[in-house]
Amino acid sequence: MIAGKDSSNREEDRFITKSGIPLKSVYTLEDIEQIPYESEIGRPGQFPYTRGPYANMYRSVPWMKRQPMGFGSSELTAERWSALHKKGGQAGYTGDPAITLLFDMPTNYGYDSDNPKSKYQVGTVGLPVDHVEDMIQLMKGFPMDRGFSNMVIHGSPPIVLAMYIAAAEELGYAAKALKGSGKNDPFQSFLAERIQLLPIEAELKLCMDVLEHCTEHMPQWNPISLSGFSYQPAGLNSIKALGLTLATAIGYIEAGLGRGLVPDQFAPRMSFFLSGGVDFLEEVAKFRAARRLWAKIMKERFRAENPRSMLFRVYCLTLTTDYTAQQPLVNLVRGTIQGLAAVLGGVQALGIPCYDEALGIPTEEAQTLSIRTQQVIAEESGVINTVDPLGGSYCIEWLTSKIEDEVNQFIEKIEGMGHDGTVLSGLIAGTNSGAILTEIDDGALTRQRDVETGKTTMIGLNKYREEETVFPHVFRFDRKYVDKKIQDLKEFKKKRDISLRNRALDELRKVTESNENVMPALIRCAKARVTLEEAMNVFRDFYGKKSDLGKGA
Amino acid sequence: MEAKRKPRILIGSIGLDGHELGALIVSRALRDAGMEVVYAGLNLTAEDVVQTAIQEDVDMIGISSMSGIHVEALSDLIKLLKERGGERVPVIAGGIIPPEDMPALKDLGVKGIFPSGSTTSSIVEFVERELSGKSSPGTP
Repeated sequence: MIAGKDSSNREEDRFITKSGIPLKSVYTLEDIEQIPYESEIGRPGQFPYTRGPYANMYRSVPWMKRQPMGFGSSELTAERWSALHKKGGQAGYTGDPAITLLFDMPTNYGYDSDNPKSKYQVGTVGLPVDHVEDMIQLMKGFPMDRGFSNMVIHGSPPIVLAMYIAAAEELGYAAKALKGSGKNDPFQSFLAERIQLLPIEAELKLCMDVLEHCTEHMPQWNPISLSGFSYQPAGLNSIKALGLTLATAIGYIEAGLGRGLVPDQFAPRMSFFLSGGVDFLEEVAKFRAARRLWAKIMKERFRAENPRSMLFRVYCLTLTTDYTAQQPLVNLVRGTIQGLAAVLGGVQALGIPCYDEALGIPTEEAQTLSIRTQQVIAEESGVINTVDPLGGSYCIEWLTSKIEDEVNQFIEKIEGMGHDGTVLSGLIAGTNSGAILTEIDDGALTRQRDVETGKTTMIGLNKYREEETVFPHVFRFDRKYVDKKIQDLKEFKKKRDISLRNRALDELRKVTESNENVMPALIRCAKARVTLEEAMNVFRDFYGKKSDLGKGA
Repeated sequence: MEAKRKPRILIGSIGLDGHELGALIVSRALRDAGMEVVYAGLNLTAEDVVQTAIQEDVDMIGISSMSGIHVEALSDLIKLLKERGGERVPVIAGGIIPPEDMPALKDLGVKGIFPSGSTTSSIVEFVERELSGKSSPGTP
């Protein structure tokens, strides 16, 4: 094990942010006096929103405290959610319930729990959802018209959203009352999650179906949550991750335009989901730069007029790749620094992964500590007493502008990969050619090398190592829940009205083939008790499979 | 006289899981160290692994597990390897593997376990030692 060793003695190499920006010994007024105050910094709640999307920020409305969760079954997940909510977590702006749901791998890959391919993976890293009744079971104790649901779904977002809507209607809620956000980000599924179920063009079409449908029928739902958070664990640094996230946002808006949608109609309901790293200064500046970048993109590139189109609203999940499996309690400290940076950066929702993250999915105790971390920041530290308290800092303002420049360069690079000057064509070309994936993988390889050589310090892992004395209890849930899930599914398939299910699938096939919006048919499928895999197979059959490096999934 | 063949290792991940990074990083390190890597990729079944291992005549199998399925998946793999006459092919595993699961994996016959925080150099060293005949069973 190599103890942390500086790879050079040059100041430019030693005092750099995690994304590689060298910082000077001290910043002064000279470093920022060229930045026009009114038009670039200004006040929170005013274009370009550098200091915050809202004038009063946490003085009026706290950030949502949402810890991602999901495992075993709907019952187990609902139980854990309820326990955490009672501790003050999983709460929205007014204390109303909020949830960030993770789904298991079979669900993300569009397979039912009883498919042999789903072996080992049912309920392990997320919640299994095979059909609408799983959703009903999950949400029946949750006020779907007051609460906020964020669903982090890869691979099959339209189908899962349709089940959510169908479940809501069966539980007595109108679709237009539903509040929440769905990850519906095919580029991210391809590039970060490595989940490629259909060709990218097909996934884009389905993504736009969701956007169109929600714009018209679900005004309180965020139909596209740009989920750049996993670009960082996948290998990009914080700045490039932001760059790629904004590039994909631009791409989806361009796709929306191609559908005849007007940005001001749907952009107010695009939300973001980013990682928050441990490099405190860089992260604060990143969130501020993100707001300024987005406001300008919307105003200048898309000529948005609705100020709400220009607001960069973000859920921050702090960065798991900053954590170590060694001396795991130290992750509590990292989570605190990351969380504090995100709050000083002005995020709208926050989740802090648990200290036992490197061992498995978290225990309730570990989740509670993450919630308590947020509560200490919110209620003891005093940082919420004024908006954007680090605004005006010479270093932070310089770094905010610097990050803005770097991100613009990254977006231009993506644009350049295409053939028609659009970012969308650049993304498609870069995805299909593997160029973007290569950049992400190279980032991961570099990161690993930097940790192994000690260039990046990770306390407990490559510096200050000691014999491990803390062995957190590894969370396991009873496998009987998985067996029951699979058994229940078999019975469910037998019990349902087969002719109803067949009619619904036929309809889905028809609208898929005629290139219509599939959402109404998917909702009817959900109600007709069509399973996730059955719906997904209609898309697979029509659009063809996209095989990944290993095997077609 | 035939030139000595470079050590050949299959790297892959069993079950549905898109977390590819560990497998990619280890593959690259093994290649950089002069070994041949048969990169079988993601979403494999135990059957896929065994078939590929036999077809490609690999010297070792490395399985990446990032979603807590290591005991089950490796148990199936090692059983199947035995059934197909491949029990002499050593199996190593890496990924999100908590310390308390290591004895179970060792009992199954997994020769090397590389949890979070393992370095690529330790993996390369282990593989070189194991395949040069001076085997070093268990976790390094």
